[in-house]
Amino acid sequence: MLLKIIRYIKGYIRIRITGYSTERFLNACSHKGIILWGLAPSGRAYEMNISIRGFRKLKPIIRKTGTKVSIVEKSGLPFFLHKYRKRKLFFAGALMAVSLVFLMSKYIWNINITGNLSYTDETLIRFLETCGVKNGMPVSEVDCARIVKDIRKEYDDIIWVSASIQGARLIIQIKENEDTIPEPGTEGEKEDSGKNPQENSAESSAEHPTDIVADRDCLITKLVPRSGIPLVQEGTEVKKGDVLVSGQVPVIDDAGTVIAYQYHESDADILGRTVLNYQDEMSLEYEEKEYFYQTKEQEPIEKVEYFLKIGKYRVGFGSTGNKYKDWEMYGFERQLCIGENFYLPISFGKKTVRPYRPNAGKYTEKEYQRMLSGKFQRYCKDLEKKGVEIIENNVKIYTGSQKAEAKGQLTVLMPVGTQAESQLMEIPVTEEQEETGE
Amino acid sequence: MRGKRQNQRQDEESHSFRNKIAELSELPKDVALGMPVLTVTGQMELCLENYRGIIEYTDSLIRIQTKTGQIRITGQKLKVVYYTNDEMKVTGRILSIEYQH
Repeated sequence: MLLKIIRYIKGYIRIRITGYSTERFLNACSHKGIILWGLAPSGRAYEMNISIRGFRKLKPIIRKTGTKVSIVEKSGLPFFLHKYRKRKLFFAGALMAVSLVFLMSKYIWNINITGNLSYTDETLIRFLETCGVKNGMPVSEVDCARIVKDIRKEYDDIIWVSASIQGARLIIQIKENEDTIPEPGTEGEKEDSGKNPQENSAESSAEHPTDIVADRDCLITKLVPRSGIPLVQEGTEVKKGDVLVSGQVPVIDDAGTVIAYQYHESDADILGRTVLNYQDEMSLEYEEKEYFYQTKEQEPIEKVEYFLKIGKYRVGFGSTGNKYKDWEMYGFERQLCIGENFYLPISFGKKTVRPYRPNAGKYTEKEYQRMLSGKFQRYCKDLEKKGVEIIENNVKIYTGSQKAEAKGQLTVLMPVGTQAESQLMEIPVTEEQEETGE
Repeated sequence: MRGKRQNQRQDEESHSFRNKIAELSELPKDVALGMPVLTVTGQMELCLENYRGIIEYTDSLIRIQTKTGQIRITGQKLKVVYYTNDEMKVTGRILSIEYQH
């Protein structure tokens, strides 16, 4: 195969040898080092392939052996180019293709992100765009070290970043911190601390102690502290905002006076009994859509429009205009994309309009009961997922003339407490009172 | 007649002498003596090295001159795929390979 390609590029000629001693001609050729291939006898003559360079050396051999050479066919790239030498646009096109490939390879065509678990590709690409790194930018302007720094600075829980360029691809590899998964109860707090990264890091926790504060009124049923000092006991009723566990542990000397505080990020499992209100209502009436059908087939009447958007310009084929009073429209739009995430400002789509006649419908008792209780069960399941235990449930369904309502109270055992920064207590003597007061 | 026989004997003697040297020097015979090397694949392909030239070539008969004599290859649709100074390849349906001195 390779040999064939090389022969094609170099070009070769098929010649026909006639004369008295054609074998002598063959031997002379091989003696002179002229390579012949594809020899085939045809009658008294021979046909064979010979390279262009070999053909130029044939003259003395022909004279010596008294044979006649005629060219049967010329093939290969040199002859092809010679044949089309007057087609200037063809060569211009070939040259342009090569130069375009060369030019295009100077730009980033694809950003590939791997290793991200909690951040989506889109989030990271949008962030990179704000740093000036995007698809279509020149490769020479990409500063990998800077990308790495920017990502590390912006996202705290990305602990390792590597950016590299392979051809026209920017490859970003990421390692996220998988060890510290935030607990379900403190999830909100984690998000807050994301904005203030210093607050959450281990080194600064000693300087910024945190308390656990009740996030709702409840009766504490269980309290297992891990770090910090519990200020309430099991069985205490607390109000929203009360400190449950303090992050400042007093250091007491022999005389029983507080001389200093040790600062901790307080941590505890706290369960509280509380009452949740549940209310959900729905209208008994609904709108039923009656579509219009073509008389013969079961095809609904609808109008379709296809469109193509290039930048700001939009071309539509067909129209969705109609005389009906009520209609619904649905459709899709797809943006052209090169590779994984290089979106071009070209999109196409389809819009379908389907007219209908609105009819008033009414749910039966069974239907609305099923819908309301289904919703309530889903709500309960969500609660259970969050670690809430339902002790008592008196949610009932009430029916009115226009609407139905599920209403009631749930008595639950649920984790309570959110992290909050403690107010620092500096002076030991007065602090003792303050702390007990809190 | 006598001279010719003597000549032939001498030739054989020198041949065997060279053969002995070749054997002693442990060189391959094709290198030391210029013997033709034929590699035949089934009945359809023949590779030939160490020859002097083609004497006759049609699609049913190829005669090749080597240092030790002629080789006659008969067959059907014989075709020389390539022909260089030191190697040639013949394809087609090979029926016989004969040696002539």
